[in-house]
Amino acid sequence: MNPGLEISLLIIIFLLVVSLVVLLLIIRKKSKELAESTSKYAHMVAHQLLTPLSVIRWSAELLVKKENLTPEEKEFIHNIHDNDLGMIKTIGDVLTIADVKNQSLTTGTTQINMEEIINKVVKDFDEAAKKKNLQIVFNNQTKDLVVKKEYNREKLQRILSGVVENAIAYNDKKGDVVLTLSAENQYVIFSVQDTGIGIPEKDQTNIAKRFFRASNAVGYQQHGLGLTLFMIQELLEMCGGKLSFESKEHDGSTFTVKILQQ
Amino acid sequence: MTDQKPKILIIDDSKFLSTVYAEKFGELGCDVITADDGEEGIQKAKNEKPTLILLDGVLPKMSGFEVLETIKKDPDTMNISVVVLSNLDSEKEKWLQLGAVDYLIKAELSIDEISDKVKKYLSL
Repeated sequence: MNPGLEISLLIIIFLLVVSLVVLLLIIRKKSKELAESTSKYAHMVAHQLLTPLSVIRWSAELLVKKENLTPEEKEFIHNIHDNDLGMIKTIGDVLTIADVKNQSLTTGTTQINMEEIINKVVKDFDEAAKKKNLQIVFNNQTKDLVVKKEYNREKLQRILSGVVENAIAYNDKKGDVVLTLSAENQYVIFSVQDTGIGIPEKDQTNIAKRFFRASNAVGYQQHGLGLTLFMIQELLEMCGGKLSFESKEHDGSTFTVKILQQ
Repeated sequence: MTDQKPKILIIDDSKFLSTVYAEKFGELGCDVITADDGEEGIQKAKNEKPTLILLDGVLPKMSGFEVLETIKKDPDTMNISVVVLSNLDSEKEKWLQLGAVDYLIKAELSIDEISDKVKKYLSL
Protein backbone atom coordinates (compact mmCIF):
# COMPACT_ATOMS: atom_id res chain seq x y z
CA MET A 1 0.00 0.00 0.00
CA ASN A 2 1.12 3.55 -0.72
CA PRO A 3 2.79 4.85 2.53
CA GLY A 4 1.03 8.24 2.06
CA LEU A 5 -2.34 6.49 1.82
CA GLU A 6 -1.52 4.38 4.88
CA ILE A 7 -0.75 7.51 6.94
CA SER A 8 -3.92 9.20 5.67
CA LEU A 9 -5.96 6.14 6.66
CA LEU A 10 -4.36 6.08 10.09
CA ILE A 11 -5.11 9.78 10.55
CA ILE A 12 -8.72 9.25 9.45
CA ILE A 13 -9.10 6.30 11.83
CA PHE A 14 -7.52 8.32 14.64
CA LEU A 15 -9.88 11.26 13.95
CA LEU A 16 -12.87 8.91 13.85
CA VAL A 17 -11.93 7.37 17.20
CA VAL A 18 -11.40 10.83 18.77
CA SER A 19 -14.78 12.02 17.36
CA LEU A 20 -16.49 8.92 18.72
CA VAL A 21 -14.99 9.42 22.18
CA VAL A 22 -16.01 13.11 22.17
CA LEU A 23 -19.53 12.16 21.03
CA LEU A 24 -19.83 9.55 23.80
CA LEU A 25 -18.64 12.07 26.37
CA ILE A 26 -21.23 14.61 25.13
CA ILE A 27 -24.03 11.99 25.24
CA ARG A 28 -22.99 10.96 28.75
CA LYS A 29 -22.97 14.58 29.96
CA LYS A 30 -26.38 15.26 28.34
CA SER A 31 -27.96 12.13 29.87
CA LYS A 32 -26.56 13.10 33.26
CA GLU A 33 -28.03 16.61 32.88
CA LEU A 34 -31.35 15.13 31.77
CA ALA A 35 -31.38 12.72 34.72
CA GLU A 36 -30.61 15.58 37.11
CA SER A 37 -33.33 17.85 35.74
CA THR A 38 -35.85 14.97 35.75
CA SER A 39 -34.98 14.24 39.37
CA LYS A 40 -35.35 17.93 40.31
CA TYR A 41 -38.70 18.11 38.50
CA ALA A 42 -39.89 14.90 40.19
CA HIS A 43 -39.03 16.38 43.60
CA MET A 44 -40.93 19.60 42.91
CA VAL A 45 -44.01 17.69 41.68
CA ALA A 46 -43.81 15.43 44.72
CA HIS A 47 -43.73 18.45 47.02
CA GLN A 48 -46.76 19.91 45.29
CA LEU A 49 -48.64 16.63 45.75
CA LEU A 50 -47.50 15.87 49.29
CA THR A 51 -48.61 19.21 50.75
CA PRO A 52 -52.35 18.70 50.05
CA LEU A 53 -52.01 15.03 51.01
CA SER A 54 -50.58 16.11 54.40
CA VAL A 55 -53.51 18.51 54.82
CA ILE A 56 -55.97 15.67 54.11
CA ARG A 57 -54.13 13.28 56.47
CA TRP A 58 -53.98 15.69 59.40
CA SER A 59 -57.53 17.00 58.86
CA ALA A 60 -58.83 13.43 58.96
CA GLU A 61 -56.84 12.79 62.16
CA LEU A 62 -58.35 15.87 63.82
CA LEU A 63 -61.85 15.21 62.49
CA VAL A 64 -62.09 11.60 63.68
CA LYS A 65 -61.58 12.78 67.28
CA LYS A 66 -64.61 15.10 67.18
CA GLU A 67 -67.51 14.19 69.40
CA ASN A 68 -70.89 12.85 68.27
CA LEU A 69 -69.65 11.11 65.13
CA THR A 70 -71.60 8.02 64.10
CA PRO A 71 -69.65 4.78 63.52
CA GLU A 72 -70.43 5.16 59.81
CA GLU A 73 -69.00 8.68 59.72
CA LYS A 74 -65.87 7.48 61.53
CA GLU A 75 -65.51 4.68 59.00
CA PHE A 76 -65.63 7.19 56.12
CA ILE A 77 -62.97 9.33 57.80
CA HIS A 78 -60.78 6.25 58.31
CA ASN A 79 -61.19 5.43 54.62
CA ILE A 80 -60.09 8.94 53.64
CA HIS A 81 -57.12 8.69 56.01
CA ASP A 82 -55.98 5.22 54.91
CA ASN A 83 -56.24 5.96 51.19
CA ASP A 84 -54.40 9.23 51.71
CA LEU A 85 -51.58 7.39 53.50
CA GLY A 86 -51.48 4.92 50.60
CA MET A 87 -50.97 7.77 48.14
CA ILE A 88 -48.25 9.35 50.31
CA LYS A 89 -46.45 6.02 50.43
CA THR A 90 -46.70 5.47 46.68
CA ILE A 91 -45.27 8.93 45.98
CA GLY A 92 -42.41 8.20 48.40
CA ASP A 93 -41.66 4.88 46.68
CA VAL A 94 -41.81 6.41 43.17
CA LEU A 95 -39.49 9.24 44.24
CA THR A 96 -37.02 6.84 45.80
CA ILE A 97 -36.96 4.69 42.68
CA ALA A 98 -36.79 7.65 40.26
CA ASP A 99 -33.76 8.85 42.14
CA VAL A 100 -32.40 5.57 43.40
CA LYS A 101 -28.93 5.95 41.89
CA ASN A 102 -28.47 9.27 43.69
CA GLN A 103 -29.91 7.97 46.94
CA SER A 104 -27.93 6.33 49.60
CA LEU A 105 -29.01 4.54 52.70
CA THR A 106 -25.81 5.71 54.33
CA THR A 107 -26.15 9.48 54.27
CA GLY A 108 -27.22 9.87 57.87
CA THR A 109 -25.11 11.18 60.68
CA THR A 110 -26.81 9.67 63.67
CA GLN A 111 -26.34 6.17 64.93
CA ILE A 112 -29.58 4.27 65.06
CA ASN A 113 -31.03 2.30 67.95
CA MET A 114 -32.70 -0.63 66.20
CA GLU A 115 -35.18 -1.44 68.96
CA GLU A 116 -36.42 2.15 68.98
CA ILE A 117 -36.92 2.31 65.21
CA ILE A 118 -38.72 -1.08 65.11
CA ASN A 119 -41.02 -0.05 67.96
CA LYS A 120 -41.92 3.03 65.91
CA VAL A 121 -42.72 0.84 62.89
CA VAL A 122 -44.87 -1.47 65.06
CA LYS A 123 -46.74 1.56 66.41
CA ASP A 124 -47.32 2.90 62.88
CA PHE A 125 -48.96 -0.37 61.83
CA ASP A 126 -50.96 -0.92 65.01
CA GLU A 127 -54.21 0.36 63.48
CA ALA A 128 -53.81 -1.61 60.23
CA ALA A 129 -53.06 -4.81 62.18
CA LYS A 130 -56.08 -4.33 64.45
CA LYS A 131 -58.36 -4.00 61.41
CA LYS A 132 -57.40 -7.53 60.31
CA ASN A 133 -57.23 -8.90 63.86
CA LEU A 134 -53.55 -9.57 63.36
CA GLN A 135 -51.13 -9.89 66.19
CA ILE A 136 -47.74 -8.23 65.76
CA VAL A 137 -45.04 -9.76 67.95
CA PHE A 138 -41.59 -8.21 68.26
CA ASN A 139 -39.00 -10.75 69.28
CA ASN A 140 -35.86 -8.81 70.14
CA GLN A 141 -32.85 -11.10 70.51
CA THR A 142 -30.46 -8.20 71.05
CA LYS A 143 -30.04 -5.64 73.79
CA ASP A 144 -29.67 -1.92 73.09
CA LEU A 145 -28.38 -2.67 69.61
CA VAL A 146 -27.04 0.56 68.14
CA VAL A 147 -25.84 0.35 64.54
CA LYS A 148 -22.42 1.95 64.26
CA LYS A 149 -22.64 2.51 60.50
CA GLU A 150 -24.38 5.81 59.84
CA TYR A 151 -27.62 5.05 58.03
CA ASN A 152 -30.27 7.52 56.92
CA ARG A 153 -32.96 7.05 59.55
CA GLU A 154 -35.96 7.81 57.30
CA LYS A 155 -34.80 5.47 54.56
CA LEU A 156 -34.00 2.65 56.97
CA GLN A 157 -37.45 3.10 58.50
CA ARG A 158 -38.99 3.00 55.02
CA ILE A 159 -37.26 -0.33 54.36
CA LEU A 160 -38.42 -1.90 57.63
CA SER A 161 -41.93 -0.47 57.17
CA GLY A 162 -42.11 -1.83 53.62
CA VAL A 163 -41.47 -5.38 54.77
CA VAL A 164 -43.94 -5.14 57.68
CA GLU A 165 -46.56 -3.53 55.45
CA ASN A 166 -46.44 -6.45 53.01
CA ALA A 167 -46.69 -8.93 55.90
CA ILE A 168 -49.91 -7.21 57.00
CA ALA A 169 -51.37 -6.62 53.54
CA TYR A 170 -50.96 -10.22 52.39
CA ASN A 171 -51.76 -11.90 55.70
CA ASP A 172 -54.93 -13.79 56.50
CA LYS A 173 -57.32 -12.32 59.05
CA LYS A 174 -56.45 -13.27 62.65
CA GLY A 175 -52.94 -14.20 61.57
CA ASP A 176 -49.59 -13.36 63.09
CA VAL A 177 -46.73 -11.10 62.09
CA VAL A 178 -43.53 -11.97 63.94
CA LEU A 179 -40.69 -9.46 63.81
CA THR A 180 -37.29 -10.74 64.88
CA LEU A 181 -34.20 -8.63 65.45
CA SER A 182 -30.85 -10.35 65.82
CA ALA A 183 -27.17 -9.76 65.14
CA GLU A 184 -24.75 -12.14 63.52
CA ASN A 185 -21.11 -11.50 62.65
CA GLN A 186 -21.02 -8.08 61.01
CA TYR A 187 -24.76 -7.97 60.20
CA VAL A 188 -27.94 -6.73 61.84
CA ILE A 189 -30.73 -9.08 60.82
CA PHE A 190 -34.38 -8.06 60.78
CA SER A 191 -36.87 -10.70 59.70
CA VAL A 192 -40.64 -10.58 59.34
CA GLN A 193 -42.63 -13.78 59.29
CA ASP A 194 -46.30 -13.79 58.32
CA THR A 195 -49.08 -16.36 58.11
CA GLY A 196 -50.45 -15.06 54.82
CA ILE A 197 -51.05 -16.11 51.24
CA GLY A 198 -47.37 -16.79 50.46
CA ILE A 199 -45.72 -16.45 47.05
CA PRO A 200 -46.33 -19.08 44.35
CA GLU A 201 -43.09 -20.83 43.38
CA LYS A 202 -43.32 -19.66 39.74
CA ASP A 203 -43.34 -15.99 40.88
CA GLN A 204 -40.52 -16.19 43.39
CA THR A 205 -37.64 -15.29 41.05
CA ASN A 206 -39.46 -12.12 39.92
CA ILE A 207 -40.77 -10.92 43.27
CA ALA A 208 -38.32 -8.05 43.77
CA LYS A 209 -38.44 -6.85 40.16
CA ARG A 210 -39.81 -3.39 39.39
CA PHE A 211 -43.64 -3.33 39.00
CA PHE A 212 -43.92 -7.11 39.52
CA ARG A 213 -46.76 -8.42 41.67
CA ALA A 214 -47.29 -12.10 42.41
CA SER A 215 -50.23 -13.70 40.61
CA ASN A 216 -52.09 -14.36 43.87
CA ALA A 217 -51.32 -10.86 45.26
CA VAL A 218 -53.20 -8.93 42.56
CA GLY A 219 -56.54 -10.58 43.35
CA TYR A 220 -55.96 -10.42 47.11
CA GLN A 221 -55.04 -6.76 47.43
CA GLN A 222 -55.96 -4.34 44.66
CA HIS A 223 -53.69 -1.48 45.74
CA GLY A 224 -50.00 -1.67 45.06
CA LEU A 225 -47.66 -0.95 42.20
CA GLY A 226 -45.11 -3.67 42.89
CA LEU A 227 -42.42 -1.15 43.79
CA THR A 228 -41.78 -1.69 47.49
CA LEU A 229 -39.57 -4.79 47.36
CA PHE A 230 -37.70 -3.43 44.35
CA MET A 231 -36.97 -0.19 46.21
CA ILE A 232 -35.88 -2.08 49.34
CA GLN A 233 -33.56 -4.34 47.36
CA GLU A 234 -31.97 -1.44 45.45
CA LEU A 235 -31.32 0.59 48.61
CA LEU A 236 -29.89 -2.39 50.49
CA GLU A 237 -27.61 -3.56 47.70
CA MET A 238 -26.00 -0.12 47.44
CA CYS A 239 -24.69 -0.36 50.98
CA GLY A 240 -23.70 -4.01 51.24
CA GLY A 241 -27.07 -5.13 52.63
CA LYS A 242 -29.35 -7.87 51.38
CA LEU A 243 -33.03 -8.77 51.07
CA SER A 244 -33.98 -12.45 51.04
CA PHE A 245 -37.12 -14.48 51.60
CA GLU A 246 -38.56 -17.92 52.08
CA SER A 247 -42.14 -18.57 51.12
CA LYS A 248 -44.69 -21.22 50.30
CA GLU A 249 -48.05 -20.49 48.71
CA HIS A 250 -50.89 -20.53 51.30
CA ASP A 251 -48.34 -20.97 54.03
CA GLY A 252 -46.86 -17.53 54.68
CA SER A 253 -43.56 -15.83 53.96
CA THR A 254 -40.50 -14.74 55.88
CA PHE A 255 -38.63 -11.72 54.55
CA THR A 256 -35.18 -10.96 55.92
CA VAL A 257 -33.31 -7.66 55.75
CA LYS A 258 -29.58 -7.75 56.47
CA ILE A 259 -27.54 -4.59 56.96
CA LEU A 260 -23.93 -4.10 57.94
CA GLN A 261 -23.39 -3.08 61.55
CA GLN A 262 -20.36 -0.94 60.81
CA MET B 1 -51.21 34.68 83.30
CA THR B 2 -52.37 34.69 79.68
CA ASP B 3 -49.12 36.42 78.72
CA GLN B 4 -47.28 33.28 79.79
CA LYS B 5 -48.83 31.24 76.96
CA PRO B 6 -46.22 29.87 74.54
CA LYS B 7 -46.46 31.55 71.17
CA ILE B 8 -45.86 29.62 67.93
CA LEU B 9 -45.19 31.32 64.62
CA ILE B 10 -46.05 29.22 61.56
CA ILE B 11 -44.41 30.27 58.30
CA ASP B 12 -46.15 28.25 55.59
CA ASP B 13 -47.73 29.25 52.27
CA SER B 14 -50.46 26.60 52.58
CA LYS B 15 -53.39 28.24 54.34
CA PHE B 16 -54.96 24.81 54.80
CA LEU B 17 -51.93 23.51 56.69
CA SER B 18 -51.76 26.65 58.81
CA THR B 19 -55.41 26.11 59.79
CA VAL B 20 -54.68 22.53 60.84
CA TYR B 21 -51.61 23.60 62.87
CA ALA B 22 -53.64 26.39 64.52
CA GLU B 23 -56.36 23.94 65.57
CA LYS B 24 -53.89 21.40 66.98
CA PHE B 25 -51.57 23.81 68.78
CA GLY B 26 -54.57 25.73 70.10
CA GLU B 27 -55.42 22.47 71.92
CA LEU B 28 -51.99 22.65 73.58
CA GLY B 29 -52.88 26.07 74.96
CA CYS B 30 -50.56 27.96 72.62
CA ASP B 31 -51.09 31.25 70.84
CA VAL B 32 -50.67 30.64 67.13
CA ILE B 33 -49.68 33.28 64.61
CA THR B 34 -49.19 32.63 60.92
CA ALA B 35 -47.24 34.08 58.00
CA ASP B 36 -47.75 33.16 54.32
CA ASP B 37 -44.21 33.90 53.14
CA GLY B 38 -40.67 34.40 54.38
CA GLU B 39 -40.66 38.21 54.51
CA GLU B 40 -43.85 38.32 56.56
CA GLY B 41 -42.46 35.52 58.75
CA ILE B 42 -39.22 37.39 59.51
CA GLN B 43 -41.16 40.56 60.34
CA LYS B 44 -43.53 38.68 62.67
CA ALA B 45 -40.61 36.88 64.32
CA LYS B 46 -39.07 40.29 65.18
CA ASN B 47 -42.32 41.90 66.33
CA GLU B 48 -44.05 39.03 68.10
CA LYS B 49 -41.00 37.24 69.60
CA PRO B 50 -42.54 33.74 69.41
CA THR B 51 -41.28 30.86 71.56
CA LEU B 52 -41.02 28.56 68.56
CA ILE B 53 -41.10 28.94 64.78
CA LEU B 54 -42.33 26.22 62.43
CA LEU B 55 -40.81 26.95 59.05
CA ASP B 56 -41.91 25.38 55.77
CA GLY B 57 -38.87 24.31 53.75
CA VAL B 58 -40.26 25.42 50.38
CA LEU B 59 -41.65 28.95 50.29
CA PRO B 60 -42.51 31.51 47.59
CA LYS B 61 -40.36 34.68 47.27
CA MET B 62 -37.56 34.14 49.81
CA SER B 63 -36.40 30.54 50.10
CA GLY B 64 -36.68 28.68 53.40
CA PHE B 65 -32.87 28.69 53.71
CA GLU B 66 -32.74 32.50 53.37
CA VAL B 67 -35.49 32.89 55.98
CA LEU B 68 -33.65 30.66 58.47
CA GLU B 69 -30.32 32.41 57.84
CA THR B 70 -31.91 35.83 58.39
CA ILE B 71 -33.61 34.74 61.60
CA LYS B 72 -30.39 33.20 62.95
CA LYS B 73 -28.28 36.28 62.10
CA ASP B 74 -30.56 38.86 63.70
CA PRO B 75 -29.81 39.34 67.44
CA ASP B 76 -33.56 39.98 68.03
CA THR B 77 -34.54 36.54 66.72
CA MET B 78 -31.44 34.34 66.81
CA ASN B 79 -32.40 32.57 70.06
CA ILE B 80 -35.84 31.48 68.85
CA SER B 81 -35.99 27.71 68.18
CA VAL B 82 -36.85 26.93 64.57
CA VAL B 83 -38.27 23.56 63.47
CA VAL B 84 -38.23 23.00 59.71
CA LEU B 85 -41.17 21.10 58.26
CA SER B 86 -40.80 19.96 54.69
CA ASN B 87 -42.01 17.33 52.32
CA LEU B 88 -38.65 16.80 50.70
CA ASP B 89 -36.42 14.20 52.25
CA SER B 90 -33.24 16.10 51.50
CA GLU B 91 -30.66 18.54 52.83
CA LYS B 92 -31.44 17.83 56.47
CA GLU B 93 -27.81 18.43 57.42
CA LYS B 94 -27.81 21.86 55.76
CA TRP B 95 -30.89 22.93 57.73
CA LEU B 96 -29.36 21.76 61.01
CA GLN B 97 -26.06 23.50 60.25
CA LEU B 98 -27.95 26.74 59.62
CA GLY B 99 -29.40 26.51 63.13
CA ALA B 100 -32.69 24.61 62.90
CA VAL B 101 -33.34 22.44 65.99
CA ASP B 102 -35.08 19.76 63.95
CA TYR B 103 -36.07 18.82 60.41
CA LEU B 104 -39.34 16.93 60.02
CA ILE B 105 -40.96 15.45 56.93
CA LYS B 106 -44.63 16.40 57.11
CA ALA B 107 -46.24 13.56 55.19
CA GLU B 108 -44.40 10.92 57.23
CA LEU B 109 -45.76 12.09 60.59
CA SER B 110 -49.23 12.17 62.10
CA ILE B 111 -50.47 15.45 63.52
CA ASP B 112 -50.11 13.94 67.03
CA GLU B 113 -46.44 13.14 66.35
CA ILE B 114 -45.86 16.72 65.15
CA SER B 115 -47.63 17.95 68.26
CA ASP B 116 -45.39 15.77 70.50
CA LYS B 117 -42.29 17.27 68.88
CA VAL B 118 -43.65 20.80 69.36
CA LYS B 119 -44.40 20.05 73.04
CA LYS B 120 -40.81 18.85 73.47
CA TYR B 121 -39.37 22.07 72.05
CA LEU B 122 -41.75 24.17 74.12
CA SER B 123 -40.84 22.10 77.21
CA LEU B 124 -44.54 21.50 77.87
